[in-house]
Amino acid sequence: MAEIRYLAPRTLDEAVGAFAAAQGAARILAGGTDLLVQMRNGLAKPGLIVDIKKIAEMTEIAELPDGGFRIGAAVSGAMLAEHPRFGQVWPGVLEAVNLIGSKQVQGRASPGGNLCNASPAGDSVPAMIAAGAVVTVQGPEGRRQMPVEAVPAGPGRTNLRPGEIVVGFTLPPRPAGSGDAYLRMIPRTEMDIAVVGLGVSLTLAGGTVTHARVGLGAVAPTVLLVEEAGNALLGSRLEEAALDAAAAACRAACRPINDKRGTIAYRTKVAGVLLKRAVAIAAQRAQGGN
Amino acid sequence: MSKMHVTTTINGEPTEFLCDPDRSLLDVLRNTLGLTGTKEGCGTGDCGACSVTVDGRLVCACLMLAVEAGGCEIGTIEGMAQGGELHPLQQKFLEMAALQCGICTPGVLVAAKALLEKNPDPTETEVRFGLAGNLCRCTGYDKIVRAVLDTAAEMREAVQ
Amino acid sequence: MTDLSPPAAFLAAGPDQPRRNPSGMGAALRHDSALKHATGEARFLDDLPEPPGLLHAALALSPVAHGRLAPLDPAPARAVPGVVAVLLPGDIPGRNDIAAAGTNEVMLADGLVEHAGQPLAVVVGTTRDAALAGAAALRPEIAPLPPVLCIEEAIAREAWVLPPQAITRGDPCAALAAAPRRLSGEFRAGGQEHFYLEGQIALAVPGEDGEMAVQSSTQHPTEVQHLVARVLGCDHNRVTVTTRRMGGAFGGKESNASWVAACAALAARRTGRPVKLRLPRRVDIAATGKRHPFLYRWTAGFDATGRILALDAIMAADAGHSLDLTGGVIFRAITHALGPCDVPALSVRALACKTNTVSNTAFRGFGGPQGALLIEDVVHRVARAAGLPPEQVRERNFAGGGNGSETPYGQPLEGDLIRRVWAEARADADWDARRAEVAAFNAQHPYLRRGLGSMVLAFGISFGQMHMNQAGALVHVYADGSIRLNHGGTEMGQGLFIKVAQVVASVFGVDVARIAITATSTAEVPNTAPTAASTGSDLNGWAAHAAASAIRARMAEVAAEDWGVAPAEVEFAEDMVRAGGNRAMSFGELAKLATMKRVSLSATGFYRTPDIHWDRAAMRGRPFFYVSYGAAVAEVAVDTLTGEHRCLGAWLVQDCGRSLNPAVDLGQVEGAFIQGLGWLTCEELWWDAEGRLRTLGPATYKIPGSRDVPPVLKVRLLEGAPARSETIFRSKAVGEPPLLLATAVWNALKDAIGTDRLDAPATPERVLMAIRDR
Repeated sequence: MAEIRYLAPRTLDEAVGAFAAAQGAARILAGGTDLLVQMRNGLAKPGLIVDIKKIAEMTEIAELPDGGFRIGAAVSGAMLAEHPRFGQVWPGVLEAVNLIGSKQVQGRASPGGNLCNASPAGDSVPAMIAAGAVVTVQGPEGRRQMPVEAVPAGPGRTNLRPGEIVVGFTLPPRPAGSGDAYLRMIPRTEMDIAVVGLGVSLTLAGGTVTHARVGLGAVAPTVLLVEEAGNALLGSRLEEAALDAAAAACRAACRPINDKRGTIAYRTKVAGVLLKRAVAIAAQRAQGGN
Repeated sequence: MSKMHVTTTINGEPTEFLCDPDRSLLDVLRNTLGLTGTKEGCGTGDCGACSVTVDGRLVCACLMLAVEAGGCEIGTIEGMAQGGELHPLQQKFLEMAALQCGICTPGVLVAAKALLEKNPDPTETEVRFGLAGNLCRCTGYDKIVRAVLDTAAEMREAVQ
Repeated sequence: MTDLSPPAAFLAAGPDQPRRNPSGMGAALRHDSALKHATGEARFLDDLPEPPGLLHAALALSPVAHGRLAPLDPAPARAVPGVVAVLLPGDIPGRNDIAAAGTNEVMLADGLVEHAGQPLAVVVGTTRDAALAGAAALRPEIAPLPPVLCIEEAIAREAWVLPPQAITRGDPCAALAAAPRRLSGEFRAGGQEHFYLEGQIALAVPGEDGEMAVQSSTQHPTEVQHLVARVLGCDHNRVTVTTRRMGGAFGGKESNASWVAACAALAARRTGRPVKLRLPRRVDIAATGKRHPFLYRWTAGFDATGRILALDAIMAADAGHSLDLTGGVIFRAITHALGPCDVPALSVRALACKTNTVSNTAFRGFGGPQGALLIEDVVHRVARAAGLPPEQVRERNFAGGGNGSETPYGQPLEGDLIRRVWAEARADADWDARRAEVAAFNAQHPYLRRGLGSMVLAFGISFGQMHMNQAGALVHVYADGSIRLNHGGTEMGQGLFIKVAQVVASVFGVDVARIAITATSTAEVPNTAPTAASTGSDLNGWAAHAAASAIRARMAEVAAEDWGVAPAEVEFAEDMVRAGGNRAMSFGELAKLATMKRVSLSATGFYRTPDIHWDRAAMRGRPFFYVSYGAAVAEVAVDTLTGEHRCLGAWLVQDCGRSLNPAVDLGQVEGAFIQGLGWLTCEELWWDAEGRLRTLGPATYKIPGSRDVPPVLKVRLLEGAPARSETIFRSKAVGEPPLLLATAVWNALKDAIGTDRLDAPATPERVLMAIRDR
């Protein structure tokens, strides 16, 4: 058995230092719901585990003065659900985060881990993309920010530089008339991984869409920002033609694989159906419905 | 491998153990501490047989490193009956035959207890959702769901 | 061995005697270990304290479905710290053969690999992690051969694991030609992983004089004993196998548990130390057999009333790479292919296809559920073609009434019970009103469709292998009046132990708390059948009854002599023994008296099922002691844009004769229904193009969860219908039959979307594709 060490630093600098010094032999531990499975299956053999949950910034949820939110990378889904305001402002993001696994998993799993695991089917990622979330990362070279959609590079791979750690997400302030939603299609009602996952964020003014973003998961090597779908909705009053165009854009964006969870034909068809349904929910929320 | 020293509280008892850094909490509970009521069903956090609470939050013990338990309050099935008295959920599971082979039962009970502590008056949908992470291959769940709902009602009455 | 023939024992105990004892027959007592399960104190095999010097074993599996295997180099595994042995076929002292029914099924691949997941080596280490790491370090060299991965290809190559079996009656060709209308169909049903929550596990401890004590999570301790002895090359009497309880089994711990235990025993023999083998979930799913997938092709002739006049059908089972228990599975499939229906002229042929996949095995129902799908598909298609409701077509063809009342192979069916269970389920579900509601809903909703479906089952009880229908028990009464019970049946959660204890309590007229329930052991009761085929209570109940009755007869004589009355006047009830008006002593006092009088208070009991026979050449006989019946109605909702669906409600009526324990029996009915629901709707085994199973855990293989089951589940045992055969206290078996009731959900889905063909499992994807194709 190879030597393995565990560190639970209290500061980010300490964590970054240890992580970078390990030169790729280290793994970050947030909720651990992916890492421990990978270790058990022999897919991950870290020499160093850096537990980031003792770093205050990593587990904080802060409502910013401008109305935005900052979420630490290791915040669990359960903590997010317990926050008094977050779910009111970003119900779609919260739904997505809390679709990751069961209650047991929600008590541990974090949006930061979900993003860094870089599964094309990560539930929180399409919702974060739709929300226009920005990721803060810190590495030996310092801090930088990148849009969520820029982080995944392919199944299990990210565009983080060596030694970089995701610190948190910043979600922008919400103008009046905004709403978001996340829907996924899974073979079973709970405890499953998406065959298609789709997040929508809308802002409406007088019934006209003034802002629209669509994130689409599980249909390509990475979760996608489908700009054409957002553009198809922009300026519309969500007429059937605009919805059809946005659904078509989602289907066109699909580059899925046939695998144990679904065929190409099925995933593509369902992507369009989910777009229309998620838009309907987001629009209802934007207009003050639930 | 250098073992780490961990101080924790399990079912209210201060507990110390030594473990390798890559051991799961489940492994330490079962094999180091002899608390075998917590079961391994899948080892991947998908079946709930290893459900325990950590600082009141429900987790799969197979998905947590034992070293992370330092300073935490762990609750397992062994701590559910207090002073020789069964928890009302345990009592109701017996009365309503809400178990068969019994290997998922400890995890189901721990999850149900955590659910009722957060939500003493759950709807049937909330109970089904709250137990979605606990697989049972024998019962078909109906008796489990009814037992949890009945217990919740009785516990609410007892409080009043 | 005391061999009381059942009718005599039956009369002695008075099966119809009033149920005076609150813990005797018919009492809804809890599972024997319920309290311990609820507190976590019940010890499953992996919970037991580990013996000193324990080693752990792990299996190395083939990554390739078919190929020539070069001799395996153990060096990479040996180089892993903690690994103490790498065992290959050459290390087997006896025979490398784990065949349960035939011969020459290898335990460890030797020269030829026949499926991905086939065990190649047993690696032994000081820790489980070391053994697993050692197994992972091995680098098998396999020159690939083309694999056969589907039933169609096996049929094309005529690759069978045993010759086809067929049941015929009349002249189906002529009857088809003469029928007013004809119709053909094809469909398939997938396999099913058992997903017992406790994985396969065995602990082998070597003893003196070549002894091997094996603890195994098995439904069949006797077969474990035989296979361990065969692999070790020793006599059966060197091997003792013990099983206290299993964390679920469902058929998956019949033949599969045997080779897992044999691997542990091999390692224990080779190292001279205790060895535990517990399969990780991925390995368990990759290496152990599943329910047989089936492909069906049929042609039926029928008339305008929906009467099916002729049927010519082929049912092709995917046996996997070896025989295992496939012979019994296809036997049950063809004997159950008509369900409760009668078809005057037919030919049903069953093919046992050899493919390069894991060898499929017993799974609750044992081919019966697959068989019953045939007639259900025919009924559905005939109904659509004739413009009739499927329920009306099924009723039109029920056995009895004006139709034939015997199966094509000669087993009598009870047409009155078939009609009764169906009428009761229909009434429970308020069928007509529900049908109207469904129609009203469908008329107004843009994309959701509801559907109603039903199922009526007839399931024969007895092992298809006649010799397996036997059981033994061993009962001791101690001087304080406490009782120790042992029998050949195993406890897997189904409540067998409490039911058999209730039988014994009933014989002695004592509270069941007086009876110590003990682990199944080949050292106490030898040469037993597996706890399978739903026969556990039937067989072991009678065997225990015989043993207890023998002791009771001796105790009655002691009391009679003491009191100067006739033994027939001595009554056992309420923990007392009485005669006449004023003679009485406690059961414990009588036990003490008997030991003082040097009377044996220990007896074995034996039972063999009477009146069953089968002519293999003619494929005729009466293979089942009796038949169990049941009926169900299910309502579903389907999202026609995504194919997602839910079962909204289910109403079940199951015939258990006079239930030995209604609490236990209801649990069996509910659990079996949900397991069947999983098989038919969400549990999909998915192999990649190279023949590797990729659904190796609950993250990808989906058994029903708490939200996947119908929120309305109304389950009832048929009342006032004691078994007509001389079963133990006129009860009927309950383990497997209700699994077939889930076919109602499959039928309801077809009703909702209006399709001819819907393959199982009816996943959202298949449902959506069926909507598109209809």
